[in-house]
Amino acid sequence: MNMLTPYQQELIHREIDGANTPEQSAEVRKLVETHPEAHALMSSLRDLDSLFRQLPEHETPAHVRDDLKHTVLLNLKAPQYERVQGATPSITRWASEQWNGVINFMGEFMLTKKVLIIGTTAVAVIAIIGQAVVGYQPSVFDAGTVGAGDGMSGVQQAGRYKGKIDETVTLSSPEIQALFQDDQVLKLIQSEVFRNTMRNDTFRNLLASDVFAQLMAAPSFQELMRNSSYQQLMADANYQELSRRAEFQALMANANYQAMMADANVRNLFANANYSQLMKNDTYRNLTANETFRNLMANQTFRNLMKNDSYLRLMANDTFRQTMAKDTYLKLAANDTYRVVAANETYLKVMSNDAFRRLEASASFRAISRNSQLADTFLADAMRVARVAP
Amino acid sequence: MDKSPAVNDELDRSLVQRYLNGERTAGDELVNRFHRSVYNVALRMLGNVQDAEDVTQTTFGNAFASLESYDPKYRFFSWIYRMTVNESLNTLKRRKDVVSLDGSFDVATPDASSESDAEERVGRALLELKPEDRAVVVLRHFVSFSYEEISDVLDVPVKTVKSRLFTARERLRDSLVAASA
Repeated sequence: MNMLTPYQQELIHREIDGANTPEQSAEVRKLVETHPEAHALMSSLRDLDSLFRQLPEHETPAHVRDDLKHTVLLNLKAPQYERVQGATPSITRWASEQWNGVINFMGEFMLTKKVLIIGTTAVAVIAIIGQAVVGYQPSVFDAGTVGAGDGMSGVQQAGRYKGKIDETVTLSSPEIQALFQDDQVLKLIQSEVFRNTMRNDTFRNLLASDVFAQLMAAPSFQELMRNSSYQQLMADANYQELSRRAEFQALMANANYQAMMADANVRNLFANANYSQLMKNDTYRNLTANETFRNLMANQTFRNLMKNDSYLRLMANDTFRQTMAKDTYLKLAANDTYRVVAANETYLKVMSNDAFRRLEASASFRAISRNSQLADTFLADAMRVARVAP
Repeated sequence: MDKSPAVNDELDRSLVQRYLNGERTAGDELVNRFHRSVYNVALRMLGNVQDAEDVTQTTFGNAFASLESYDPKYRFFSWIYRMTVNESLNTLKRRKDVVSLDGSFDVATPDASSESDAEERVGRALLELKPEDRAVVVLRHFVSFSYEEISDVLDVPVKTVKSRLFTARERLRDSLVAASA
């Protein structure tokens, strides 16, 4: 039996793949009829192809599809701001879609199975907001009573009035006007500390982000903010020191570590296959050699927090994890103010403040937050509203 | 056996643009068009449901997070399948440190019919292939891509695609014959 040439073999493979021209197909047919080895190859490849065709296509699991919906929502950008002239890409429609997405997200949120322990991540968000309130002793919402102090060290201030305000953006949207009618929101906006904070680019970028808005809307996040174990942990010096370490932050973002912590038997992690994988991770090994980390692991407050349902639910939240992966967070997590803020009581008040949540829930407000000059105008308008109010 | 979504580059580009303009439903439609085939590619590449789920989620997460960098002159499906294959290969590399690929295959089928038997046999045989060869087989036989499309997805010459495919088929054939002997 003559061996097939490489060309003949390729012709037969191409025939199976439907890649031959009619002339080449004719050549294959003739070859198969006259050449036993060609016939055998053709037959076996057809069998293989037939076997593949028998296989069912698997359905994507429902929970994965749900997660993908969240992915779509979380990465959705705001449309162009409302335009004064011409067609208006509807920011209202966008806000509505966002809201519906959040509703769906929240409905499924409590069913999320993964439980991830990302200790520093919550603190990061705290830091972002807390920078606004460090050193601010009386009521956060008393306009003009107290300045922000010098707690903004390490945070670059946004340049003001660098250019002309985008003429396509308007503050006259009903949503913004409604916010001005909310006494608590207005009081918050008019507070000096808030006004100063709004001039910080990083803070405004965070406010403008969709993921942060959703995080703020998550009841478990609010619950966590009020949890005493969590607050104690934030105030713990060991934890604060640890959370500033780059290797710890890297660990928190490590997929293997997260997978391990997602295991229902996380407290028995030494029996977990993911754990052995984690053990091979250089970042983790460096971290475990760190005395501060070991102190944290021995810290009763930290262990209490690990048992807290609210905290675990939050850690299971993809939105939260995505927030933590943002550059905005990483930038702020490295900020000197971080440690001070983490223990700041005023921050916790702000985070659990309904007015702040309403403000952050506003798509228009977040759109405004993207532009430093527009934010200035917004604040000025808020102050003007205060002056004309009876 | 064309199990891939119908190729429609114009539709995909339009959906990407609409999503980038803030239209959520366009993103949902992109997911609807590709989630099943992405999941199945990952499943065939990895032979493990949990890993396939993770790869699917990561692929779409990365895709949507970087959609602004997507160049519409390229085909969207090539872009997303490339991400899927690359993420699958990364998963295999990570897994290699912990679990040896001993042919373990963990893809449940609805029943214990001949379909299930074929699933098991093909799944095991696929896992015996080198991952790069497996990717070619999966894209050819489970997504019905042409040589040129596979070349585009994997960013290798068509000649390499054919070489890998033909070699992989020979090995698959041998594995399946040996398994049934």
